[in-house]
Amino acid sequence: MEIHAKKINQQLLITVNGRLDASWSDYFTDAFLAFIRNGEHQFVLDAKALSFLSSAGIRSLVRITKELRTVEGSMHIFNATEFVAGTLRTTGFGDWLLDEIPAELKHQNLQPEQNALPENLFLLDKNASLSLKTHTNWKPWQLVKTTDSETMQFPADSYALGIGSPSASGKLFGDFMVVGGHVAYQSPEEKSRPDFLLPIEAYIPEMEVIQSLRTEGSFSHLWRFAPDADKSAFTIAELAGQALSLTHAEMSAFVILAEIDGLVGAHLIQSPALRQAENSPAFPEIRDWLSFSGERVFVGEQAMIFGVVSQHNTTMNNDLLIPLPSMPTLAAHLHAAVFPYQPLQNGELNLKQQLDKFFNGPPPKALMHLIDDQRPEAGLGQSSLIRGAMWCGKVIGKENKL
Amino acid sequence: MLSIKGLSKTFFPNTINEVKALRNVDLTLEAGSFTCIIGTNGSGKSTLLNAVAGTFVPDNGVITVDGTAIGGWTEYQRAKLIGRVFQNPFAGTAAEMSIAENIVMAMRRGQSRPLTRAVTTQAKKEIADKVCMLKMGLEDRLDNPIGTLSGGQRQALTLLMATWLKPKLLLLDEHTAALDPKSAAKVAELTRQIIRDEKLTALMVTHSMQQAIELPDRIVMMHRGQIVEDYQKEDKKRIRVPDLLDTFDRVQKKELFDESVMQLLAEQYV
Repeated sequence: MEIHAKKINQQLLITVNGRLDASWSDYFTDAFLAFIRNGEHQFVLDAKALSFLSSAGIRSLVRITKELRTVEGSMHIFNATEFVAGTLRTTGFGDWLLDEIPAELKHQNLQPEQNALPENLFLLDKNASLSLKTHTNWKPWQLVKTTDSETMQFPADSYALGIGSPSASGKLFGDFMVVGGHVAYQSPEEKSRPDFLLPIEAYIPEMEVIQSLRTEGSFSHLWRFAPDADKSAFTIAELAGQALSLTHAEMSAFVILAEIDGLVGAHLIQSPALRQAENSPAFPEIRDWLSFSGERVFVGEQAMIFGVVSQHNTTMNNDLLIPLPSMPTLAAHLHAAVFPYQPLQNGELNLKQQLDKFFNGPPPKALMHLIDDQRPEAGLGQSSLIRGAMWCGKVIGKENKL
Repeated sequence: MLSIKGLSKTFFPNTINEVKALRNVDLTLEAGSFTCIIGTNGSGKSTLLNAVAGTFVPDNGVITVDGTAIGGWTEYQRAKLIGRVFQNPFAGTAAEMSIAENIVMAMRRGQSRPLTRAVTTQAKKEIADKVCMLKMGLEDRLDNPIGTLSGGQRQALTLLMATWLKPKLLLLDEHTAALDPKSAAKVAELTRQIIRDEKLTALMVTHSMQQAIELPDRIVMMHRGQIVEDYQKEDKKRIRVPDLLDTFDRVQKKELFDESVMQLLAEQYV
């Protein structure tokens, strides 16, 4: 089977030559899923040279259209042979067929094949902003005292990161992040997977927190980013800098949902509440308390990141914002939850809908505090992302320490 | 059935090539249990099996089989208690001898073998009955040299020979690794069937995560000469291949966590 693709206006014209049967259906499906991953969501299939379509082939087309439905995409077929068109009509999929070539394709306004989408910027609410509260009663690696923790509720307009424990689960303090009231939490045990707390009906997720950066409010901008011929991925520092730039602020908070090029990070694997000694754990004992990714991980999966960034050495300095070694003018703190890959639709995205989609889908695979690893020679670099969406907003007002 | 306590072995000690292959390993296998050892290359899996089989003398530690300390026994003496299948399908059989002759040798393992006719009519019938379970049609080819068989057929026969006398302990050292996928699956299924039907105590080394999940009732993971994970009972039942891969990943991450990482995290992990 041969598959050729041409971008014509906003549609991808796919020409297929061969048989779509059990032998080729996986190959065909994989090719389409790769197009979708590259941001192509409107397909027109020229089936003139498609000589045969079996039930396995139809299953493949159904799989593709299901995937397209999640990103509000579409697929239509034209030029189908009598056999292929008849098969589709008989099996109830006749509505995929077009009677004639779509008008925009007739003009053959061909564009060269490309992966890049234009950068998209959406102004959501020019007056939107977020307030910041910092909780730093506990500092590594002090003994955790009862007075260090505070019970926090996270309603739908809250975005936070830090170290805490779901209320009533004891003192299992681990890394967590909150996005729109949805809490993702990494239990501090080596073998455990991330857990999550969702705002369902009257329930508001609640955590015992010993350290946090918490913002409340809404985002002013949505920026869609995608690779192009010159740029294959976006580093965290670039994205954080873009958040500041878009919001014209000294400090910004942002949520990113994007395909992962590679993450570098760490998370607690023992609760600090179990610590018996006041001093920092030395090497190699530290390996029993913190896990480091050790390499760039979760390539191709989907990251949900919450971060706060400020211009370094400004009035907005904050104990929990750390200068980025790769861009020392910025200080930031970011936590990332990793989900199995799901495509994002193009254009403007609603954050709440995306949160519902991801938290109600396959569970998160990991949660980590992102690290900018610029160690000489051994450094893994920054985390970076391929394509996705960033919601950002200005953090205003003087820091309100809890 | 098998008890290993404080087992250590260092190869080429005090040289530039020093390898601490086993570091104070403790492991106990219940009678009738089937345990699988997995681990990275050089983790000590095969060394542990070889230590039990008596291939070398460990530096420290005590090994007992069915309550008998076998530390002072030679490899061939241990063969009375231990059946063994190797990775190389050609290692456990004599190529020039017939199928029946090979099996008769196994039928008399650990016993005296006087100068009498070994492959009797009675023995041949017994062999044919048992070879039949392999479902490979070999019962009609008992007089053929075993060297004419495929790797999968020879490994299936080796497995049968190793378990003919119901050993106290069966050691399987990556015994499907050198076979093509179809033969490997067949031998793996035979392994499961024989161990279950004969209620054998078995210790298997494998690199196949799928086999580690499907065949045994316990998984032990080794790394750098130590046991780093032990999945038994409920833990074993719920574990899947991705979980094992995660565990490998976790173990290797720890290796990459050096003092420069500690410094990095001291600066950036608030």
